Amino acid sequence: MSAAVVISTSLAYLLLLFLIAYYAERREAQGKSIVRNPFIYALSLAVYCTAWTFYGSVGRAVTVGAGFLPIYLGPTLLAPLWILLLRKMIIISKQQRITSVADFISSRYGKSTSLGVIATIVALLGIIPYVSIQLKAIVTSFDILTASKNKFFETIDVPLYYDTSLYVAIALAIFTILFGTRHLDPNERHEGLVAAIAFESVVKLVAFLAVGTFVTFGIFNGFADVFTQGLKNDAIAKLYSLTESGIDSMEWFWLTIISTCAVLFLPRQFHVAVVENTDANHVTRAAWLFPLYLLLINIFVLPIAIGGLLIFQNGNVEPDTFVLSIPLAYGKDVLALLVTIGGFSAATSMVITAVIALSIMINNNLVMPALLRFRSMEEVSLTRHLLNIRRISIIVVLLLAYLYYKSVSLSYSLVSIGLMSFTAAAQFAPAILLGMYWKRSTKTGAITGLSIGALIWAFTLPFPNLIEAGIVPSHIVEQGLFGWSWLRPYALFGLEGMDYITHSAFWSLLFNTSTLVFVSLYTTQSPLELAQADIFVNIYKYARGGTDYEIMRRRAKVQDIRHLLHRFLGETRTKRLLNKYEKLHDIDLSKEKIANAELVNYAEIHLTGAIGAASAKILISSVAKEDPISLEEMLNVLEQTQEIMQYSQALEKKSEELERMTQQLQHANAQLQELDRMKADFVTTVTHELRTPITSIKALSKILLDNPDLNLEKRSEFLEIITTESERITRLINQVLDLEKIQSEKDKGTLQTLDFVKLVEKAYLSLQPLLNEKNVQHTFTIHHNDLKIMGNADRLTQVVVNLLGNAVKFCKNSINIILECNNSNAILHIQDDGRGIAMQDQAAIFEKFIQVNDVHEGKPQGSGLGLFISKTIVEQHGGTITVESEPDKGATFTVSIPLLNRQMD
Amino acid sequence: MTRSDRAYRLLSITILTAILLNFPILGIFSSKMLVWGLPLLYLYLFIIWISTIIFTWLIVRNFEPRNR
Repeated sequence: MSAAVVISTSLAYLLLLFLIAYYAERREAQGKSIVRNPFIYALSLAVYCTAWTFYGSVGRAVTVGAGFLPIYLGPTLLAPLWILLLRKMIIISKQQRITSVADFISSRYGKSTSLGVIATIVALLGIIPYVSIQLKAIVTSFDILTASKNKFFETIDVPLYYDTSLYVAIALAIFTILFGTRHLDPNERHEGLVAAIAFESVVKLVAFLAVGTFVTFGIFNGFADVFTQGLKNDAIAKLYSLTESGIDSMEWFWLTIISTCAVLFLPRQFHVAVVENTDANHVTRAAWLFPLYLLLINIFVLPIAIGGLLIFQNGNVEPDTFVLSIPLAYGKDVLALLVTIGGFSAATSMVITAVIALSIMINNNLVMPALLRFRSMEEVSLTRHLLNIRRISIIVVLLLAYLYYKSVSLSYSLVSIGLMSFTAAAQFAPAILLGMYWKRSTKTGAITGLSIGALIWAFTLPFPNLIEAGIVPSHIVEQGLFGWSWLRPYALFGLEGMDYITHSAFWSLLFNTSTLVFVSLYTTQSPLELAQADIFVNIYKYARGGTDYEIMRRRAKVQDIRHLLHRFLGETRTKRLLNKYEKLHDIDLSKEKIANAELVNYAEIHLTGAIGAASAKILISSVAKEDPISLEEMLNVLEQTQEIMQYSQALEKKSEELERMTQQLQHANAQLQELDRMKADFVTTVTHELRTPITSIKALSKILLDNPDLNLEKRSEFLEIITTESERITRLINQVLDLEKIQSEKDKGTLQTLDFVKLVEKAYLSLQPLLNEKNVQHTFTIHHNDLKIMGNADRLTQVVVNLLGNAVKFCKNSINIILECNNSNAILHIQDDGRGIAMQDQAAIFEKFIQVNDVHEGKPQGSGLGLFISKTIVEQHGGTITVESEPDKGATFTVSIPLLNRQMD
Repeated sequence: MTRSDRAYRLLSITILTAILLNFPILGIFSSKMLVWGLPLLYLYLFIIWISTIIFTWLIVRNFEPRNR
């Protein structure tokens, strides 16, 4: 096949990928995303299968038989637990706006910048070799496809412009930039990327199944045939049993362990599984779809391996290339092209995803913190620049991968380098897993654990590689570092006889985990660490729409926050975010000067999405003032909360009771005060009334005493006044006592059935002398003879006498007495033809101490209590007393008392 | 089946598979025998593999409507 065909097919394929990505992003913008479903999600996870799976599995099967499988059994083992583990990771990451695996670790341990740096460096060291072997795979496949004779794709010792791998690297860089950096999404979601990856997963599965079917059913006669034939060959038969094929239990076990870790913690895996996830519930389906995919893509590995061994008996074909070589050997060029595209798919999906994930990590955990440390915030206004920084990091990563490829990876198989990367990714496992389930793990613990693990990994795996490349002297392998035999890269601490990967995995994970645990137990956590630990371990508590755990009481100027968000998220997005916040909290930010802690946290979370947790924390703290809570304080608060809750319930009950009592007391108090006032008034008035006559008596008596020879006329006059005044006093005192008696009588004293007519007659008769003396003309009219009422005879008589007395006092010539009734009441009218009572006085005369003044009469004769007493008595009998009068036209007093038959109800 | 029931069942699948797919049990099947023309070891591995998938699917599918 000509190179032109190969190259153009590959480019066309890349273009197709790009179109798919573009289409996916268009659909997302329209709200009809094609990526938000569990199948696409599960397919995107299949980026786990790279060129290593495609080419290297067969190669490994040839050497160790079933030993290629642990890489896939590990994820299969873990998948059922994804619903707990992965789902929790996703929920935490969405809540905390986490953008990469380094961000996850950094965020959990108090948003630590240093952890972010370490994790990023470990990721880079681990993944760059992995990227380089993908380059190698692509180049090799092109090589084979075009028939290696003319070595068109020769890359060793070739001037730069002939170097295919360089062009491949450049093409990959361009496409990665196009896929991953077209715009900045604070969630770091790239729907186009996911769609392309999912498509590539399908392509590689189809391609592999195609070649597998061809070998098994095209060349041979089915599975049974392949295996039976293989059995005949001793070398091949060895592969059927584990023990003879050279893989031991330790290796099998540790390979399973590290692939379990890798499937989640490889940067690209974390990116597609967590960061790109659109719905945590998709994990449920992925938990069995993904193992199914792994199963399908591995079914034909062994048949191909055995077939290849059988076909290429002379052993000069690399097992890694069987998938290509076999179809070519049988002249199936189209199939071979399909296979190449499949391998190309596998490689490019890995490269693009991994490089994007790494560039995010470099951005948020290396570049941003460095910029923030070394320049003031003013100079770091970067919305436009963030994208360019991202692109530069992509180019740098691919450049490094290319360099690694040129210098080292030629001599290593896909599998061994792949496993090296897996072991590196496994170093994240202790920090992450313990971070998610053990609140006590501390930042210091994580830093030391990760560092030691990474160090051991580096010493036992990539470091010895450099020996073979001639960079490091070889005696270190045999004799150990500095000649210390326990520091031999392949036999650390004297542990011999294990294969390199297992050896490295064992020591690095052992030291990593135990250091993390021990150091955590002996160090304390800062308040921020505690808060983050609580959020991570107890995420389900917070995930229900709660706001971020407010451990820091922070205040900042709204202005500053807005400013900050503008710089890093751009104006449009800032506006949108702030509007959302305003709606959510029903607040108008333009009216607020100081932002409360909630707004500060809100801003920090969104910044995290753009630049990572550690950098966001630094930026926010530059504008927000903190009242840092000391650990002790916080613990006290937490301890007391329980007690407080119990107390507060009891207190609430008590306070309710108290309120009720207070109200009652207030009411009673008001009443008492009123009564007090009334009494005070009464006393004042009475004493005043008493004082006046007493003064007169005193004065006149004194005059009489001092002037013994006062004339008789004058003496009589004075003595008369004294007598009158004394009588007045007596009358007043009697009436007051009377009033007291009446008012304190709750019942009406002795009640009897009375004949009202007779009662009035009696009173009338007793006043006859007075009437005659005054020469008053009078009439007594009875309209109804039978008026029976219930009441107190004495009191009612008192009323009638009082009214008659008033009438006589005030009349000119005549008075009229009229007795009548209506349906329910007995009615008495007493009419006089006196000067009448003005309208405004008519209500007042019934009140205490009010007397009607008359210039002609001089001093009033009454005490002012008479009518009040009468009114009280009448009302006590259930009746009414009223007056009708006009000035100069006399007055009619009317007493109305309920009749007996009515009173009975 | 409650959430934690499901969690325990899934955990038990994982543990069971881990035991079955590791030594020493794995070693039992490590022979050159052919069953239906397929090596015993691979038959065993793939059967366990498929069973894991099926069991996971069974446990998980009841929950999917509820998750919506």
